[in-house]
Amino acid sequence: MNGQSAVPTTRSSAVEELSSLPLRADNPYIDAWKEKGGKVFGYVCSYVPEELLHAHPAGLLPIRMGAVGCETTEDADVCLHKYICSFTRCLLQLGLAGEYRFLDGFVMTDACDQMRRTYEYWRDEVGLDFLTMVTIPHSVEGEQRFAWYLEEIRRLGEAIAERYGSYPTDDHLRDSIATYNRYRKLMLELYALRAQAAPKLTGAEAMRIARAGFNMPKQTFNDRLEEALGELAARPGIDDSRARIMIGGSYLDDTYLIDIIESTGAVVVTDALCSGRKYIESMVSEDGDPTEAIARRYFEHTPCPRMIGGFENRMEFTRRLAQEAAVDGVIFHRLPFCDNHAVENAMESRELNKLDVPTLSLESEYLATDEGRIKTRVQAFLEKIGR
Amino acid sequence: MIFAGVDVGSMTAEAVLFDDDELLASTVLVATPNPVTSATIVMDTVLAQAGLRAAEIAYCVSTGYGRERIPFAQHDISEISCHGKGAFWADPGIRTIIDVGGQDCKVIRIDSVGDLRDFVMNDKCAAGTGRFLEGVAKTMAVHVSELGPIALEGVDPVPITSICTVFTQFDVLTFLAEGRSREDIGLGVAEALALRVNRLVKRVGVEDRVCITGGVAKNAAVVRATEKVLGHEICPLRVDPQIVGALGAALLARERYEKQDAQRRQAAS
Repeated sequence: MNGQSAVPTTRSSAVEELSSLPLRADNPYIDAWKEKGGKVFGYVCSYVPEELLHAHPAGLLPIRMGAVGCETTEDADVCLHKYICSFTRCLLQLGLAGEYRFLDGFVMTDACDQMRRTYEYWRDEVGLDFLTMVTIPHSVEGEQRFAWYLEEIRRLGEAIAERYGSYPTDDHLRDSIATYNRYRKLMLELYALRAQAAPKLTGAEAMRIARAGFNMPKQTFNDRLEEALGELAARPGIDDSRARIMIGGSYLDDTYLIDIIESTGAVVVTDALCSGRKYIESMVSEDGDPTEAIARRYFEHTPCPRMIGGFENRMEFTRRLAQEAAVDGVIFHRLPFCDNHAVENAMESRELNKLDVPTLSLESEYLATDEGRIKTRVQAFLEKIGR
Repeated sequence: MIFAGVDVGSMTAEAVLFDDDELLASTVLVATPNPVTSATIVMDTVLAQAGLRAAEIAYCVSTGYGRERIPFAQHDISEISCHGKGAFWADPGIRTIIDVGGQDCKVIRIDSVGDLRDFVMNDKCAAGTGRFLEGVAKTMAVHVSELGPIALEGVDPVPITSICTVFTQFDVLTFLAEGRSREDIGLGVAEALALRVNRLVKRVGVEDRVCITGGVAKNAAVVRATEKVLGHEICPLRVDPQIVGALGAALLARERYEKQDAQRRQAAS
């Protein structure tokens, strides 16, 4: 099952296919995977080691879940207070509405308290064949904490083995590591096309392509992405953009904000999002014990702002990307009640301002309808930086 | 040469006409739910007032809600830059503008030529805006324009602890039921609004001179309370504070026209 999955439908241009991949029940890759008897596992948090799921001999397709297309939170609001993050509520809403009924499993973490609060609803109200919670240390410093995380990862592998038979062999794991490392390398090439003086694609296109990567078997995605990179490189670049913008924040899989920014004539050329560049960077070592190597990569990637410490590491990441893509300004987004990112955004803004990089902080609900309000701020920001 | 600015807000719409350096006419009207209709009516009104025709306008800039959809404007600019420009024209010593409009509140910092340096806006909440004062006035059964003079007579302000417009209306009802005077309630509300504005000001900093624009600037009790918490004098402007956005739009219309004209000349020579 870890090989090529059937590619449904006729072949259009790779860029076209990847940037318009239907989601959830309409996703042909998920259909094809299930038809062949494969299992589909969902997760959200960047501390879930995807390679471990992917390597399972029973054929697990890991997808990074999102809530694009959610139109109401009516049912989720019965379970969760309005003071809970709106992305969390939208995701639960999709679960309650049966939009994720194709999922066999959902791997949650306690990295985010708001998401953690929905565990019982996913267990009792949505109902999945396999649901587990991986606990994550509150700091990524020290070998004892790594040992804790590694133990959690092994326990996850064993729990899956208990339900679906056999822990992946080292060969399976090494194959998955190679697939994911290739994926990361190709995605970095996509970022390089955006960082050019005349970017080859818009930020909205890049986000839709990345979203396809969350929702397709990685081998198939890699091949299609390689084609897409060729198509994009052959395109003329965008040489009339009003400003080069970087966005930062937590989990964003909807192009809503980018669409508003790009409607002003600016181009989003890079990002420091949990669901963006942070998901892509850091390779897994191909030497040594593969489970440990996988755990090491996830434990040591640019840390989530919920960690105690790690600010310098994140700041270095943001600075490096801002420089690499020669941005004119950084727009930080946060979801209401996300305390971790609210403070993080303010701290990173302060540091960037010291380097004369202008910043704008925006807050909006996941299901935002206030385009005018956001556009006014973005437009004023561009006027302020003289663009 | 005639330049025009039009600013459609959530509660009112304003239009301003300039003849080179001279402020020809300005109009403030209650906005309709459709920004294009509001803009058209307010522009027709100001043109009639000045005895001009639409065709005589050399360049028009729109700002405010729905600014990008105003058919007769050549360009749209955010109300943040417009308020900065307008206030600077009215008083070149102004460096900080507090704009309290119908449904948002912003603090704008400008440089020595009136260009935007920094800004901050409230998040999506009506507290500390014109809507907040309208709600309170309605509960007290007075017109919003009467709220300022009433509050100036207050001596012992009621404590308004909630930051929510709806809850504040409940509080006001309770105070009225307890027999507190309208003057003390009005003063309490003005001080609560000033504290909220102050928190926003703290985020971008303050530099003299400071002014308040937008409809709420007409409430003298709010202006006085803001001066008190801010510790800075609020300078009165020589124009109606409500037209400052439209005024800035007209000035930016002139700037853009002159810049494009210079480019045309350069290209021709």
